Amino acid sequence: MRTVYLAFPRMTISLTAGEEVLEKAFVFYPFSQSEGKPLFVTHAYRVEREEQKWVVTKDGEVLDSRASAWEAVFVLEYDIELSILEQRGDWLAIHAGCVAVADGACLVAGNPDSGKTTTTFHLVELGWKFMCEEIAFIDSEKKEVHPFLQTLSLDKRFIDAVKGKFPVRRGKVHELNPSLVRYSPELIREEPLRLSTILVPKREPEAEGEAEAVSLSPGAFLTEFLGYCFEPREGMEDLVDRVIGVLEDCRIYRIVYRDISDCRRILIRLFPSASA
Amino acid sequence: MTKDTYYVQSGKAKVKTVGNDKALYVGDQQAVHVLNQTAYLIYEAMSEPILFDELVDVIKEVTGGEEQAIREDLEETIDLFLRYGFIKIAE
Repeated sequence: MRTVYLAFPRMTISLTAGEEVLEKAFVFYPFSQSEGKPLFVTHAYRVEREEQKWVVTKDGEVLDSRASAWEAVFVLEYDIELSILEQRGDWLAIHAGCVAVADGACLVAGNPDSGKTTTTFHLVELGWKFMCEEIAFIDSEKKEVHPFLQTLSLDKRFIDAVKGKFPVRRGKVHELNPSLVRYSPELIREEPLRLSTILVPKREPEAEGEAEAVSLSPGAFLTEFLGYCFEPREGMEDLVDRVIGVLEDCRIYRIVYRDISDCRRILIRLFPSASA
Repeated sequence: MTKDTYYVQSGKAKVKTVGNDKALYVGDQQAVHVLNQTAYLIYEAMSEPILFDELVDVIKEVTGGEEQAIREDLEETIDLFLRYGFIKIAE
């Protein structure tokens, strides 16, 4: 057993586990390892093998026990997300990926299975720096996105389809099982960045004509974007006011695409320089 | 709804400006609704008690639309406004 420290937005954790578990946890969080022992640890996690089970504990309390080390790491991942959400203070938390594009942070927001992770992946593969996957935190006063760096969780069929058309050259692919991979981007941004753009992907395999980016006004997007926000800490009206402040200063596009090539084309059109 | 019914803002909705649009936030429903320009004009006109026919005149004057279409849209809008709690029937 060994203890490592992982730094996340507004939270540092210790993780004590055997090498088999740590190795898997680093597939999820390759960017979060803290050098040396931090001054303060928010939560202490342990993953220990007990007979046929892997038992995950948090601050001395058992969270869950699972049949494999991978499953135990999934439990850990889920609880880390919940803990970060608890620790976020006055930041907005959005269901979104994020990359640093030429003029600021670009959020990729949407419901599950809308294509936000795959769009984030394409942007990284086009040369932009990765900032967030699944959850993006925004300081609504400064209008800055704070990186939450974890690897992208993708369907293996998607990665196989991408590889059939383009090389995967800006990150490493780790196969977790026959249907699931984690993609670890090489280029990351660790500092906060002012929000400039919000993309809302929509995959429509049956769509006719060219892929398109439809510009949305803050008013047209407000209620939809509120649906992508995690439950507010300070009440709904506070959330509405903060979101309005954030939306007013950025470009918003709904991108409608049929397939991988279509999605790339539209992203290159929107953000030309890194893809050159 | 009768031709003598007066409508007025309920006092429950707060107006928020979102870019060039207006939204109404209703605290007891924890909900926000973005209004188009005509809907906001109707809401504004209800800051004091106002009759349906008077509202039709206001909209006709501002938008220059056809009266029958205005009446149909207005009926629908008032129905929504009452349901969302933006307005009430004045006593």
